[in-house]
Amino acid sequence: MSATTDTDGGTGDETSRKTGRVVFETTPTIKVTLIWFGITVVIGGGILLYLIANPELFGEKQLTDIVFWVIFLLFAAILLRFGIKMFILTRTNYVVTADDIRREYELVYRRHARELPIEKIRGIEFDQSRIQSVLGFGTLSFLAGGTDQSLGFVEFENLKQPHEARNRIRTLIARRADGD
Amino acid sequence: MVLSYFSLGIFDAVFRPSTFVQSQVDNYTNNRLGQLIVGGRLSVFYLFNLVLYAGPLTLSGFGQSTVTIVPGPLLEGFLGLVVADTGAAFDFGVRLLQNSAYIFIASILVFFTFHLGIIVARSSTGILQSVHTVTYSVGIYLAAIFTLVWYLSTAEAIAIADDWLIAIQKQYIYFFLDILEVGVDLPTGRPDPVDLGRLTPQGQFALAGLFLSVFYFLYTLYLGARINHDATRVESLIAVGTVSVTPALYVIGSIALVVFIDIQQIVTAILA
Repeated sequence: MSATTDTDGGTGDETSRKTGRVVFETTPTIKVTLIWFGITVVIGGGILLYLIANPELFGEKQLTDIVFWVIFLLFAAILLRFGIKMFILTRTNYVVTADDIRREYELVYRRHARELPIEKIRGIEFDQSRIQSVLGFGTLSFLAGGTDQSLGFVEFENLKQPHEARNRIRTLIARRADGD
Repeated sequence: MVLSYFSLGIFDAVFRPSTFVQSQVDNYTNNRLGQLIVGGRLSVFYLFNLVLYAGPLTLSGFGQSTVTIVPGPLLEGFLGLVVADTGAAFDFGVRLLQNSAYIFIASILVFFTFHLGIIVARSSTGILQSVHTVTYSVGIYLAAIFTLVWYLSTAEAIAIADDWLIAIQKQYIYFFLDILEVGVDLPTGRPDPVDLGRLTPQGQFALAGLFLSVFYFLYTLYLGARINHDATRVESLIAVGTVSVTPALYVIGSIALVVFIDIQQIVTAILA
């Protein structure tokens, strides 16, 4: 049985009614994904331009054309994925209340929320990629048993000021454990 | 609802292969009954995809029995209860099995080599994690590879692409024949050079799609090892490498069979 609750559809009011006082609320940054988008454009574009400039790279022009299409389709899929991710991130909210933590997004009239009660949190995983580290962003995963690949976790991805958020949630967990 | 999950699955398969191949690890560690249920679900998913792949092929007339098999009276009686033309239904069933057989054998080979690679790399977290990875990667990407190969071998407009693909496969086999110096030749001999100048745009796209599917297939196996088995990059590459050498092992094994075992003699002895 998973400790988290996934909610699809419905309205925001339904979710709010179930939870307590909002301790803090924030949105993720899209800068990290935007940088990856740019890196992909540069690398993909570079490879494609190189193939255009060297049509005999694989012996015959037709073979180079096939490689060109493979790389083009692959990079197009990656860019589209980053685009969709950015779109979702701009519509995502991270909410911490006195009772639970919640990641929610609304996408084309479809609302999705994943909640995890504070008392169910067994650990906090902090992850910072190189780009996130340079920019001061980070990802917090709140684990509720099992592993971070299971359903029992909520992730705050590309969080601004992740250390501050982590400390505030730690305080909240400690208070809850003390029965305050 | 089903259509929504289906389209979400296709979306994940193309744009989020890591989500597509990711298993819910907790489900596998609960108990034997839970594992049995997950195993059953995976089998149903696999069979569904197998039919989804082989069904349209069979309906479009692919597959031809080299021997005529006649249904027994019991099976004929059962088929008679369900369909009017028992002969046609039986023929369809035989061809469906025939069309599924290649991908089924390939799935088994991929599963064993993948899990072997995982065990060799000492990163196995369970057999169901490998079943999950292979079921999903084979269900979509290997099915796409097989479909494109079928398409290449039949469509008139892309005959050159098919010739080139066959020539590449022959060159691959001759690479091992030359290294092993066993003095064996393919019945059709060495491949003739293919004039790629006559390659049509459809042929180019079909080949590009084929290579892209191969890339996705290997990449999802890599992701499966990374995510489902919690393997490191090197361990995951070992698992993918083990799967990748399967065609080479198959060719070397076939050559060994031809060189060391006189199959004709064995068949004659059995029949006698």
